[in-house]
Amino acid sequence: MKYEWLLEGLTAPICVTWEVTFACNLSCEHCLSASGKRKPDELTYEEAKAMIDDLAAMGVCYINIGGGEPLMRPDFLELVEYAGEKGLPVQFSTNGTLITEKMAKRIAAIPHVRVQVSIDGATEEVNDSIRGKGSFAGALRAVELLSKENIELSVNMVATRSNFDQIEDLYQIVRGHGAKFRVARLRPSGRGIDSYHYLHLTPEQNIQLYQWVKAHPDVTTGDSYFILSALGEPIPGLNVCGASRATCCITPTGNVYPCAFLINDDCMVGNIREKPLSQMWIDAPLFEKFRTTRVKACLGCPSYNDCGGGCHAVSYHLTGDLFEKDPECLISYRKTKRKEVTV
Amino acid sequence: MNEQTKYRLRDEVKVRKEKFGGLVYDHKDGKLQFIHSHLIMCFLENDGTYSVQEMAEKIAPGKIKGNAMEFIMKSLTDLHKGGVIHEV
Repeated sequence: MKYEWLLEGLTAPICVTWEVTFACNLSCEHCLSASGKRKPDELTYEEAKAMIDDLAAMGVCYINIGGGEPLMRPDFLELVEYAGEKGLPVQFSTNGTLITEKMAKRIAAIPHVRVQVSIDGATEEVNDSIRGKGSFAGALRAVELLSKENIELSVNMVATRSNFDQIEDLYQIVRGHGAKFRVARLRPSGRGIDSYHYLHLTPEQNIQLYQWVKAHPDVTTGDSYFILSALGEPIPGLNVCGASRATCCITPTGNVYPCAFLINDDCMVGNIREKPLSQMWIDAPLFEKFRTTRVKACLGCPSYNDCGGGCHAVSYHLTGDLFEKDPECLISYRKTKRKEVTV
Repeated sequence: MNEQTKYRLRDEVKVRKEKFGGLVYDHKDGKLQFIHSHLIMCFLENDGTYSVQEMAEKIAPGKIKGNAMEFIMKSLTDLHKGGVIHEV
């Protein structure tokens, strides 16, 4: 296995995803955490600082912050500044609607901060149908404000059937602002459990997306599209699931999960109020299970080296088994198509 | 770079040892590299005090020469080109 050295797990995560709050001013159709209202037991400022201390001491390379909308948390930028003081780079995802000129200047002053703005279409009509009224204009304004301050910026688009035809157009808009473009895979978690069934790309669209990504080497996929790499030459990035091996997720209330798309009771590893992540990383049984279990259904497949069996979260949500083959496997799809043609 | 060059990590680069070798993470551009060599990770501990040759003597006295030194020089040159280390 190409990534055997990684599958066994690292001494500490490369990146920890921290969902800082469930509060959000939007209600996106595919939100991975079904965010909306803040929970009363979210980590306090002091608890969050202690968590940052732990991550810094572990040698975590950077924190990837999401939500909810991080800027709904009043002390959010103070926490980002604190991480900066501890030498921990932060990348945070935002819908952009709350970014002001003053805030952009404050963010620009924090060392090693990268911002990712979510936009799900090249037009207001398409984006707002997924993310809510006014979200397109708000996000574009944020891109302008952040670009003006020379903040390292990317725009993330969750590829869906609604926006598939606009990927190239949005790419052009984003590049026009000097930002990077990232295409992420829709996963059936949070509100995506329902919307996945009518929004996820068809296999033919995934195959087209693979060709498009190959033709745009400056585009990243957030290490989420392992299934595409099974189609031929691997796409840039890590083409294997990093959950429990190189990354994990901490929720606003301190719960720890293998990844942000597995915020489910039976995937919970622990809570940082009871045990620091540094300890869980070493002795949590579920983390260990991820590191030692392989996707049995894929072991004989010549493409297993290229995709690692796909996304465990998609398998979990669609089949109930974390270690089942990714139901969107394109190799299986092609085999089925060939059989249909033969018959 | 040559064997007499003194070098160190750039300030914005952090390294972390792992079972397979280690990670090199650049805080400035977020670039992550996997180094599949414990030996190279040892060479990255230099704080600029020593040359490549002196580091070799510190790490394994009298043993790093010939092909091993060629490998070290090639790897350090690549890391230098990639902005991970700089000459002092």
